[in-house]
Amino acid sequence: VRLERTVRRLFIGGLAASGACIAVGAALALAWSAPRPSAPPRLSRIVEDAAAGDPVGWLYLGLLALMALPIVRVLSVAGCFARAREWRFAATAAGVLALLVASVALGLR
Amino acid sequence: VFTTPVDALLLILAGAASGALGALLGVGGAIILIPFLVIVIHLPMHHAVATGLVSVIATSTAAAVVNLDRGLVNVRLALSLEIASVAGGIAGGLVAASLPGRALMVVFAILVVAAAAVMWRGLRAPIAPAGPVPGAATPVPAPGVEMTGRLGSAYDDPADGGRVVYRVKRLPLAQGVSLGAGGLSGLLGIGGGFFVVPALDLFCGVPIKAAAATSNFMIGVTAVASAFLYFGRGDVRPAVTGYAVLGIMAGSLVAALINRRIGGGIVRRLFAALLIVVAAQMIWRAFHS
Repeated sequence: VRLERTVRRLFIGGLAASGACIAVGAALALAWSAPRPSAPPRLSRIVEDAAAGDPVGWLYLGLLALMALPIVRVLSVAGCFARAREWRFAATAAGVLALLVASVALGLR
Repeated sequence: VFTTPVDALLLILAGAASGALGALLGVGGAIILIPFLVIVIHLPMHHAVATGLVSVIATSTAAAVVNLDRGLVNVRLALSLEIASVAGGIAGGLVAASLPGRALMVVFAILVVAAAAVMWRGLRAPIAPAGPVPGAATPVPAPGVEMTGRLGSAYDDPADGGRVVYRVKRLPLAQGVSLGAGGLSGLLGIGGGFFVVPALDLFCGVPIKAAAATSNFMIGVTAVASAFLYFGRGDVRPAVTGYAVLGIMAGSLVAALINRRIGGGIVRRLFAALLIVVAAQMIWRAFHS
């Protein structure tokens, strides 16, 4: 039950944060008088763009936060199983996490 | 880039519809959204696939908030399947960059027809069997000694007559299906739930509601396995994806609440019907692109 509660809290917080960022980006995008071309994502500049009021920056920030949620979930579940000394499932979660980290590294290199 | 209020509204509504169907049926909803993006919005296939993957993450996360609260999600089973589905998702995401969309659509349509046939066979079985069925869930009127095994679980379901207790059988089969579903997820941007859910329900002894909730829970992780590959290639279009995600978040939450009042038989019928619709969409797309 504690595990489910932890994941649920994580998802609620993450959805609220990512949804808020996307909503801000969507509102800013609608407020722009002309369509603005979306540049290819550059991680290092996304936060700077968002801080400068760029709708694309806010949209990317929200989407990245959303995409990070399942990864954080696996990390959280691994921790819960490790604390409960359920080593089989902790190891399984660690394996899933390793694969996800490898995928992110491949994608963002 | 879609910045007009009409475009935004259209994408939000499409996202809400796909999110609602996805949460209701235990799939990612991208199988509805991707054809819409390609056929109606005329988005390039790879961009639509990337949007589909992010939509799967949104559907999975939003629905999990409700399903976790109900005890329908089997986290141990999900983890055991994710190790396979994530590996498949990475492979699919890498291969997708070099394959033409038309070939993928044909393969996808064939597989969806096969999945629909499996579900149709399941529909022939009586919904309330007179005697015990090997591998089937066992509704009991009150909690007792629950022998669920290491991967099994239990949940309360008034629509099915009380507490439902189940054991998980044939895990390697489910992992094999998850590996294939993960590959399809990476290739086509779908959640893969429409393969995992019937496999869990028909072959592994997991009740349809628990199968749908657990599948929905794991497809978010499966989608992430390839979503960052698409993101790195610049296929995630921020405005289109952002508007669709806003609709998905609302639609999947509402559908997850509605699901409480729908019995497993209805979910299964809706699911089978959806498979036929998706197969027709994909075949049409393959020969008209």
